[in-house]
Amino acid sequence: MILEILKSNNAKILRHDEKVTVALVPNDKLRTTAELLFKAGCYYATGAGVDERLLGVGFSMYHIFNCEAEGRYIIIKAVASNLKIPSITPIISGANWAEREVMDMLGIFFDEHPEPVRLILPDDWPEGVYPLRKDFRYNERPPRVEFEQKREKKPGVIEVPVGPYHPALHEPEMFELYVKGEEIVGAVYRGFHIHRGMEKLAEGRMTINQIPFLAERICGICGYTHNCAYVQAIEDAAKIEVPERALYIRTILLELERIHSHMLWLGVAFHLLGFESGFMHTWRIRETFMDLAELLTGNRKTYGMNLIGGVRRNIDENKKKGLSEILDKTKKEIREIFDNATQMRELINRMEGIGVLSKKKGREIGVVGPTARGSDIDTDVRRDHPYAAYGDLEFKVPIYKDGDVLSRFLVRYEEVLESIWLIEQALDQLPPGDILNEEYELPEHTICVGATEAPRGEDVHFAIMGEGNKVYRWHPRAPTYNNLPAVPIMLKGEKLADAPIIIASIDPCFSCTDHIVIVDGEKVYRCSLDNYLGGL
Amino acid sequence: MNIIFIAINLAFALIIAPLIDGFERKIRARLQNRQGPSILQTWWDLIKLFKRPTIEPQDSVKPLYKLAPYITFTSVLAAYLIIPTLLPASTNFIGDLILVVYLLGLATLSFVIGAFSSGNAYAQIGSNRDVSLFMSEELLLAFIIGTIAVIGKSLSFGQLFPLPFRISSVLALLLLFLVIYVASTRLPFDIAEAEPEIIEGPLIEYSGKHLGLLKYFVFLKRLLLYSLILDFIIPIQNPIRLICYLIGIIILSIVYSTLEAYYGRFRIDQAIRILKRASIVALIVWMIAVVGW
Amino acid sequence: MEAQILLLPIGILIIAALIGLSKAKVVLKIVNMLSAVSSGVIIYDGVLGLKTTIELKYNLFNSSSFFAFLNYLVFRVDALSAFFLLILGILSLCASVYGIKYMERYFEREDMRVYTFNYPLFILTMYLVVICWNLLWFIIFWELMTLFSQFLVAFEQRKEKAVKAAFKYFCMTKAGAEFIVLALILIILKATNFNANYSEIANVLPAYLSVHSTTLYTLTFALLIGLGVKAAMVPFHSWLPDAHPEAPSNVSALLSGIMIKLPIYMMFRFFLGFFPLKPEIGIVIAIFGILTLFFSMMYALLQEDSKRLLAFSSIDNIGYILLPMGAGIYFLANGSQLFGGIALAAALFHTMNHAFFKGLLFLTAGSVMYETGTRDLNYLGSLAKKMPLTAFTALIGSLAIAGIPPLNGFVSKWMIYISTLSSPATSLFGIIAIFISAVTLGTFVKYFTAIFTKPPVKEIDAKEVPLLMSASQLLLALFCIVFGIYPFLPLKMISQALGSIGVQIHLDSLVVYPSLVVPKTGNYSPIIIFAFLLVSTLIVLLLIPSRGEVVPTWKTGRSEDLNMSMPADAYYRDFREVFREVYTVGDASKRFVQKIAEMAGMFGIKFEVLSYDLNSMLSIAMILIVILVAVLGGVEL
Repeated sequence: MILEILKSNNAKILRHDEKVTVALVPNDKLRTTAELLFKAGCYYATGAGVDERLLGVGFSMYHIFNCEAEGRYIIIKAVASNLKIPSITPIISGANWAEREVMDMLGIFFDEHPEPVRLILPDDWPEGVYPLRKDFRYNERPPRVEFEQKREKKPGVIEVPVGPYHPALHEPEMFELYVKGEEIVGAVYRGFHIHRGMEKLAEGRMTINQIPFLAERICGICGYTHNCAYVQAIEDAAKIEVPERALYIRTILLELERIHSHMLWLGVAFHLLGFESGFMHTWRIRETFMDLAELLTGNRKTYGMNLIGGVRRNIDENKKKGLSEILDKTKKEIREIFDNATQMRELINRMEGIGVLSKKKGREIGVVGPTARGSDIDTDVRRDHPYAAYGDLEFKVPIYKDGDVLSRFLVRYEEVLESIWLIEQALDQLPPGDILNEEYELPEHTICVGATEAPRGEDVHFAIMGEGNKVYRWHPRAPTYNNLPAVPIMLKGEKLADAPIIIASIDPCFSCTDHIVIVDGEKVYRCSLDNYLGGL
Repeated sequence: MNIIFIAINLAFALIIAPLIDGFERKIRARLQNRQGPSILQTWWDLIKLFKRPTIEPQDSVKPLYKLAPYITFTSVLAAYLIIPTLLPASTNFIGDLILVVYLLGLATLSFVIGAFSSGNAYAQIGSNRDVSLFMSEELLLAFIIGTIAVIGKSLSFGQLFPLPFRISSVLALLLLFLVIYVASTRLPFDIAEAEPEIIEGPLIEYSGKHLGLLKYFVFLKRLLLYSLILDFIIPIQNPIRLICYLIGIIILSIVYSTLEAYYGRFRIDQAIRILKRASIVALIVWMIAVVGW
Repeated sequence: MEAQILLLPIGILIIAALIGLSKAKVVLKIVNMLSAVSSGVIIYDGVLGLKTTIELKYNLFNSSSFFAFLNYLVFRVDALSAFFLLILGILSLCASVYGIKYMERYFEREDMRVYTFNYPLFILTMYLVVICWNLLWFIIFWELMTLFSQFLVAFEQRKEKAVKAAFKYFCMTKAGAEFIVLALILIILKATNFNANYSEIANVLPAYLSVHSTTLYTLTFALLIGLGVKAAMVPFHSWLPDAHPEAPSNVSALLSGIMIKLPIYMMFRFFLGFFPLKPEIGIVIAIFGILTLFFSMMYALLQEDSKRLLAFSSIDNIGYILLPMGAGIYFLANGSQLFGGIALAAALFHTMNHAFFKGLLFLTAGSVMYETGTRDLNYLGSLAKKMPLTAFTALIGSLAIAGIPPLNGFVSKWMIYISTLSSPATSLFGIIAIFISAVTLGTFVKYFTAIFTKPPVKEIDAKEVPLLMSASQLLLALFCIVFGIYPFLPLKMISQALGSIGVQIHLDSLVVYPSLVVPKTGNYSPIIIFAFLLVSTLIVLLLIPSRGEVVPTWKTGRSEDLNMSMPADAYYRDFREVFREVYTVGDASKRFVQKIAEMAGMFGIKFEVLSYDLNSMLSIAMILIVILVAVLGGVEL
């Protein structure tokens, strides 16, 4: 099916196997291809721009689609002519941010993009300096440019600044809410306060085997999934056979991370709702899991367990026994807390019917993870594109239909219980054998994709292998990147008192992300920043 | 002699109010499986606040912003002259219960005007919620006062302490229990000073001594309201009144902080709705009192 | 000679009105100054009248024709009239002085003659209503007062809203006046044998009405409606929120401050002087008072126009006057002298207090309009730094109306609560009054902060108003403070006023303290409370001085200029949401009344069409005459 679409649009297939299909599409057929792919049920995962001038190709743009129907990733590549590529945003709104990022970082211009404004780079970055180009060194620091703050105040509403420093947020990000009385009539979001230039670092000075450790530090809560996604991408490119035991160990650690991330979120949700006791108890249980992680890997967070080809440390019998005991005890405690919490009418009142995201809107934007599963979108990378040991284990994917904060809450709760079940299965079925396969050859210039289901959703890493021991391009796309455009839609019409819980309900991990959507008054439309500022 | 007793009452209130808050923090912590701070911690916090310098926002209306904490603090202190705490001595005259309501209203009013004058969006939203909550709570309080006046057949605390034991008085005191819970800005009703939502609301621009005074005001208000309900229950002439009073304070603290540990925070409209329903109940209680039960 | 002093204001004001016919620019100042002078004389009259009663009698026409009824023009000032004269005088003095500078803003835009001609006549007719002693002359002056005030409301003739408001005001009060005329005719036909002099009526009517109770109830009904329309009692209040904002601010101060109190004056005369005391009448008046209190204040919370908010609050305070008047009648009829006296004293005291603080608030709203040109609460903000004197007086006014001790509002509200809460029958009214007092506090927090303290959307260019305007505001604020701290003075006046209509308050059974008026019980003088409050504030202020550094407002790390001001329609939104049943009842009744008005309008049009035909007109006229004769003469009332 996909192959037909690609062939009918004069695409040149660069790679095609059971997991990934890469095709070079001519620029004039780019939009139609994207449209057909979207209609065929592939949704837009991410897009990466690459400076391939050293390879003699020029600038190119890779659009990555996640095709659930066929269980693989489709990448279409377009090469810029005169630094221009037609934009597919008019058709697929999810590509908006990816293309703007490439415009900022590489200087490629996308024709007919509805809001070609700066996304990542701060306002005082000079024009014409593109950080991701190969001729920009990773430790170069251009001088600051003065910029003008033109801004008209909006009458009739009170502008409540939520961020960058606000007790409701864990990380600095800027939401600006327009509030009338208690009702939010509009929201502006601007992020990228903690952009750390990891992609440039990875290309510039790290070897392939060092990047896993860098990837783990993308996020403080879901680092291990980034790690796994990256090594999976490279293993996929080099066709490395990872030993089974290593795959199971990776699964156990991934699920452990999922539990600890969800418990953190559940505690934070209680805190934002004012239920301090729930917050304290939930985090007390989370401590047990941190201790578990320390038992298994030697660290409470940032496990440092992955290498390309396997894992570094083994799980022996003592650890296995300790693991089972602790899991049994905490399962009971978790059930107890949450049964109590779900019976408290005032908590449920504050979550039910708040921050609704409809299934259709969610599909258009391309939300992932519990945010999607709470809105009746049935997507889970563990099931659709099985990786690690998930193909051998059985688990349930919880789906709730209402699309409000309560649904997402319940999805995460059930996932915690599912994760505990998965760990128990993995422990039972742990196969003997090696844990690391170091015999492999790294091919050059291969395009590869690795995807995992992070606690927040689908985590996609796109990589192009380079010469020697380095990577030519690495683009991690965190799940919150896709979930954030949903926030202003969920905020509109809700009360100010609910704003923190709504923002928190997508479990934003801004360290992973960093990006702007403007919702104006009555209508939700994407408008360019200049128009918006002029019209205020 | 009486003046000295009143002075003792005042001194007691000033010293004990932060200790009671410390005690409540300890109980809440224990319920959450934590150690919790020591009982004296609130005093250390207050002392620390009083040592810090104050920082004033540029856009504020300075005289109102600076004067407000003082008026808030002293008006609640003046109410202690009417409601006895430790020793049964107070200035009483006809209608003093109305004066207490108005002194608390003066405290709220100056707090709110001071917050509105600070020029911050969060302060305005928080004060808005505070005044809405105050208006709804006054409806309930007005019913309770009317009922108590009908039961006690008098408008002076001198005759009203203690209340005669009747169905209507028990119900009225239960409603007063609810009003005290709301008026002492605890979860689930601490809407005006919600920290994760509106960064402490009206208190956001206050710091140092001003913040210390405003926090002290909240503790004093709580103790005043506890004393009010206890005075309605404990007879004045009782020789072991002192012990009863202290035990009563401890019991009330335990009850309130347990309730606080149990609940999440309400939104302002949910809170006002609850108060409205309670007022309808209060209307029925008033009718019961008029009939004579 | 003493008595001729009564004629002096009449003379001055007529001269002022005649001068006002000219279009010269200096006329404005002259007219306002002359009005101020005559107000001074009125104050003097009031002070005189409190000491003794002054009387002037005139025999105008010596024929025994139809005009014989109007023959006796008697001006008489007894203590009650003197009390109202004092209020009238002080308020019109401040308003006139204020107007000298304030009306200059209207120079280019409007024809000033509307103001300069009608304003003195308005004051004159109000004065005449208070001093006249004959019911028929009273009606004439009453209608004239409505006429001149209506022109003043429509002062900005080119604004359609103002003209419509004036028209609605005129129609409603005229309709109400018909009820008064009906009552009047009943009285002079049936009871007093065509003698309309107050003293005569006071002698004859109580005895007559004690016997004929149906007449009593009919008269009460007619008077409540007739006077109630003018006093903006719910449900007859809908003219006031439209009319008072449209008039120039000093005229609004007079309208709200004294003109809607004149029906109260007449109610005192009628219900306490001319009618026998019956508890049902008291309860009915008190119920009207509660309805007025409750609905108007809940609506006041919604308003975004500063003067409209003040107008709704005026209606609310009329409720605060009607409630103790009704309760007082009830108590006196049941024999409880002490609380009856306190309640009636509270009513009169609140009349005076409201005149002062509402007049003050309208003058401050006018000052704000003078400097910024707008009444829109959404737009205004942060004026406290630019207009400190106005802000101070507005703060005093807002605190007074919210009833905060030790200002004068607290004293009258205190007396209301003490009297109503003392008896189970009226305690529900007292409860609702306490609640609405809290709502008043909320409304005036909104008024004060939306104008003076919240940061504005755009910087507003304003400076302090001229001295003449702020001086009149300061004078009224001074009265608020002084009468709050030393209520003995007004209470003495009030007891004399009440004594003149037969209600005795024994001042020595009450103990009067700053802000508190208590029956003589209790172990300590409550002055300790306030002294303590003052002293402890000073001590704390001195012991804990604050030295602060000034930093920009915290915006959670943003550096841009945000709009941090809360628009006025956002205030108390949730409260209004939860109490929306009140508003639906109010809106439903408004629609109901509008329906009736529409039907009446259609009926009237049909009638008019019918009357074009001469024959049918004559026949209809005859039918009407027959009905009238039958009703008045035939039915034995």
